[in-house]
Amino acid sequence: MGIWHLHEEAQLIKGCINGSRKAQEDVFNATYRRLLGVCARYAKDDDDAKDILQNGFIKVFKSIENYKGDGSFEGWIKRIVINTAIDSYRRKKVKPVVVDSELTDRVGTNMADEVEDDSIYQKIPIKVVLDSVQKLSPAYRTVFNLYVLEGYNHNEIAEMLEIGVGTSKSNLSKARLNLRKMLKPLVDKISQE
Amino acid sequence: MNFDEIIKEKLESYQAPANVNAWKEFESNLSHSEQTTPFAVPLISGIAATIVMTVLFTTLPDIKSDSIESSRIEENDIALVDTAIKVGASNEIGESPEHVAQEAHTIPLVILENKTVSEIGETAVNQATIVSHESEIESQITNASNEEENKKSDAARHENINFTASGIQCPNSNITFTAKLDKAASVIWVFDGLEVKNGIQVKHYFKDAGAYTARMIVKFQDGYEQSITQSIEVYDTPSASFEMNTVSDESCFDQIIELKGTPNSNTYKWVIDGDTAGKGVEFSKAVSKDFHTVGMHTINEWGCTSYEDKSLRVESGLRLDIPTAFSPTRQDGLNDTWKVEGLNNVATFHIEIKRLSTNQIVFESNESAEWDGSIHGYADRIEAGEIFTYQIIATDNCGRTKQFSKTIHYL
Repeated sequence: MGIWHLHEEAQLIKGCINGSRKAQEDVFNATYRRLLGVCARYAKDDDDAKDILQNGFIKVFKSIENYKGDGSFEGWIKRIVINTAIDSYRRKKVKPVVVDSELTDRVGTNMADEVEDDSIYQKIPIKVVLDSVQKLSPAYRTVFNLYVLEGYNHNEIAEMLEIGVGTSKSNLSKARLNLRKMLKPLVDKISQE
Repeated sequence: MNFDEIIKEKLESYQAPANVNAWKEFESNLSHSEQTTPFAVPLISGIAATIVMTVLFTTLPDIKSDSIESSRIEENDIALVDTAIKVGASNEIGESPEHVAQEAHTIPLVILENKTVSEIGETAVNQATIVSHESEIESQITNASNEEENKKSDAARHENINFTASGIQCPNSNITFTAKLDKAASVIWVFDGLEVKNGIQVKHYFKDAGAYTARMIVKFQDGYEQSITQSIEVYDTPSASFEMNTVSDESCFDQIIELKGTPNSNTYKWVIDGDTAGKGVEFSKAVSKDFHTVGMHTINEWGCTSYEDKSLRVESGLRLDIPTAFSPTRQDGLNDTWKVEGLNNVATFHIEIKRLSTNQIVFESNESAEWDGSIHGYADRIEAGEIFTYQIIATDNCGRTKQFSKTIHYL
């Protein structure tokens, strides 16, 4: 079930279509924290995330009449917000990154205490993971989000971001590697404890 | 759960901190947006239309005909060809989205047309019509083509114009087009009849493989125009797929990964964890116990590249089992000694154990992998609860040396 009961959801949608501020406020407040969390992983910082969310909600309220009910209302809002994030990336994009200079200093391969398996990443706080994702370059971050979080395949991502399929794959790999690199000090620390 | 699933689970569960002022902040922007929208849309449209018209007017005069007022092209717009090339005048619009590491080369072109202005007339109108559907511009172009007098006088003239192309003939690769002119002139380019750029030297890329046309329209200072059209071939990217196997060897820490690309006439470049590792359709390399990304660039005879990569977790073939605690004083037959399993499979090793509190070496050996808890034979000086650190440096039978260190708890 979504965050609203069906009857309540229908009333909210109707209110939003009629321009009711109260209905808009209820929708905004009910989804704000979760959607700002979504925007945060597409953004470089909190301000950037708020900008995306704000533009996303403006689109939501302006196009709410287009919601056909084929899927959850919250999912529809989330889709618009994510599309807003992608649009924001496209606008800011100067040229896509293929070759990554950040990776010249890679994760070491001769470490005394080696990570046994990925389960150790479960011990890393959410905020640390989010901060690391935000530190990725926009190209890597966007591809990582679309592939890992949203479940798109590389062909779909390539079309959405207007990049090559190879670029999408490459950016995903580099995103994973960079994330591991950023999280490694904490992983090492946790494994020592 | 793998890495992706763990990160996904964490990020999906994340909620931003509550903000009691969030709605108020948003509402003020929403109100502003709603107030400006009815006026902003036509205003922005108007500005956009003005910009488009301005760009097209500054771009298209050369396409039309020299019978259009020559004053439309300002003196400053006409650059000396040599100077323009020397300073690298280029149009960066349409920067290629793919930056591949192939070496640029001069691309063979085939001249399809070389026309004077009177010949340009009608076709230029057609080209321009494709470029823009703005009826006003079409109207002006059409009017311009009616200037028969100028066309006739120019028809007899023929300047020596040409252009070269250099780059990689692959989809999404930038190709640099350079005008070769004897006189100062302004230059407009029409690629595949659709995209217009201007400048002595411009860059352009084609998204897909195929045969395309590049047309250069030159307008000299005296208003005379001439165009040349050449064909250019863009080739397909190669397919990129490969197989990957890991060869296990219990006497070595590292494992051999064997890579095999799809056999054809392409060149293969293997990339492991972002670094170039080697070339060849088949390639093998020893890699350490870790998470790796193995990628393959395939380069065909035209220099077009494709990339494919796979993730790989390599487990160590030679495994050491190193205890983190032992209890020698209990003498219960369980963990009475600190013993490292697996060191009998390495070529050489050195163990050093220190007391954590004092950094004093309590055990050191190149032969024994077992410590009974005594300090150089004096067992009674050790107390339960003490913590030690070990460092093991081991060289396997493949020549790889690894270092291990951690703490030992004396229970």
